Amino acid sequence: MQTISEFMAADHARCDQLYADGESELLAGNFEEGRENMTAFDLGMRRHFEMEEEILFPAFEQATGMTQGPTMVMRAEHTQMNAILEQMEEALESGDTDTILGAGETLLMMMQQHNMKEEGMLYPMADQHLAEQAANLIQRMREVE
Amino acid sequence: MRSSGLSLDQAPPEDIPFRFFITAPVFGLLAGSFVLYRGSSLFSSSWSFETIALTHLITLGWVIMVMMGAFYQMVPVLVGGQVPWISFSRLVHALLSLGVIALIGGLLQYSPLLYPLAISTLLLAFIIFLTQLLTALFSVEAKRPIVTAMRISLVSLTFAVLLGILEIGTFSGLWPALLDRTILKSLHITLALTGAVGGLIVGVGFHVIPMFYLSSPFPQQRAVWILRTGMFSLAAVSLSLLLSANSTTLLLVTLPGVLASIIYAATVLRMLQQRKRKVVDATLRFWQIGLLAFPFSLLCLTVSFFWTDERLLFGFGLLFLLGFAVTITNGMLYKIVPFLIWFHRFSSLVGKAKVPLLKDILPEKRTRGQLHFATLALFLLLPGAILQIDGLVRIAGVCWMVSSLWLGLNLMHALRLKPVLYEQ
Repeated sequence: MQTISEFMAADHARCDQLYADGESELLAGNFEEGRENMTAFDLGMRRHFEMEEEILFPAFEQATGMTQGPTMVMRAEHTQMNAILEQMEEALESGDTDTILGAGETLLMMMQQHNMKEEGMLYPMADQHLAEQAANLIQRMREVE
Repeated sequence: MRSSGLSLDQAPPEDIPFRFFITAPVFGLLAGSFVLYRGSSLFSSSWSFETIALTHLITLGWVIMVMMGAFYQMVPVLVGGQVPWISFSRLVHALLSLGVIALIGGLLQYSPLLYPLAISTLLLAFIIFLTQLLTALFSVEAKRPIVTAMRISLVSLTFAVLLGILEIGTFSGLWPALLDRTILKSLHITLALTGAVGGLIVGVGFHVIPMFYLSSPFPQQRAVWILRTGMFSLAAVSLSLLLSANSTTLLLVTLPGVLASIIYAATVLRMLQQRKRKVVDATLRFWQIGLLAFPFSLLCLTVSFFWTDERLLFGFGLLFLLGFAVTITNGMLYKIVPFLIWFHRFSSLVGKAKVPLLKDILPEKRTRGQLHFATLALFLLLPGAILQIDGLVRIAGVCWMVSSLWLGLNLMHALRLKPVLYEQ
């Protein structure tokens, strides 16, 4: 059975891949393909945040009683990343490749250290505390649009 | 909040890593000037005091300087270790900087008082640093290879420092030689460079390559094997040197370590080749050059154990220090410094005010030019030093000066960026 860690880390990897594809296309001068991938990345990131904030974090907070702990820090970082995503969306809209790539690079650094904290600490804790609900939580997260 | 060996928001105040990072290019500039001033005579005997001075400008002034800043930053953030008495780190920086200057002054025989000053400042700097970091690193679980690598690095550094201090004491006539000088030198070099410097860079590579370049992860089992083999070789070589073992024994115990370095470099180069991100920036090139230099440098060291030609030792020193350690730390500074500035100064303003992106903090065009000078310095100095071509060595010295100055200016450019200034 898939653990929460495995499911969430796979989603991180999927977002990384979408970003890398978008960046490669933009660098190669294929703006339309790049925009498509970057839009998919943007949606992927927002979906990932929603899965966490609406389903995983509340379950974690309820199971551990920790509402001021790691989930609070993760939510704050999501807010920061959302703001950069907005900057990227504006650049995607206006066709400003430089800003798309610049916002992307900044976001990626932010994301990598954020993901490291989640994969190294939060998800293993979730595996531990939410073992019985894992299948149900994963199913509900899969259903997030 | 701590669990699974990773803590959140434990980063030290930004000035702690930055003061170490910004000092490194200053010593780099001094090292380059020294090469320009003295030319190929610096590469004629590894026993010459001037050569030892140059070596320590690079090892202590640059490599250890950056490593200390990196340890203070990474141990809490990457491995969840809490560094005690963090404000003492500022004192460590001051003592190390003063210690390097005193040591160089002593070696160049400016004043006999400089050796005791060097011993006291360096010893105190390392005692504080090692106590802080060993406490932090041995209180976390060693589940990940990076923790093991950092421990190997710090334990090697401890022995290397003791040997170094012993030697300075002997130079200055404070105490008689307690060990044969040739043995002491080989042990000191092996532990300081392959153990302390190599250990840390190898460990950090496991972690940051997948993060920065979106490559596949470093295979866990291979990482464990590389560290165990490296540790075995390091311990066995040290013991063989101490017991004056014959050259066949030395060769036998060194080869597994060299093999581990080849496998490490080949694995990381392959990960970089197959990375998901196709962007090519200066930091990627710094890693690639460093990884190529690493196994070749160790081959030179191995051969130098039984074929005592000074040129092999110079080949090792230049490839390991300039080719591997300085190159990779230089590249990593370009990744870490802009991110830390962004993280400490701007991340909390995102969405509330206009904040710069990483490319605005340190534009790629600034870093690429410096990469060219750093590479040129290495490729001119290698043949210049080994074939004793004085002109080439001096030109390499100029390139090295330009490269260090350029790095320093780039870091200053990034460090000067403050939220208020940016909004104006």
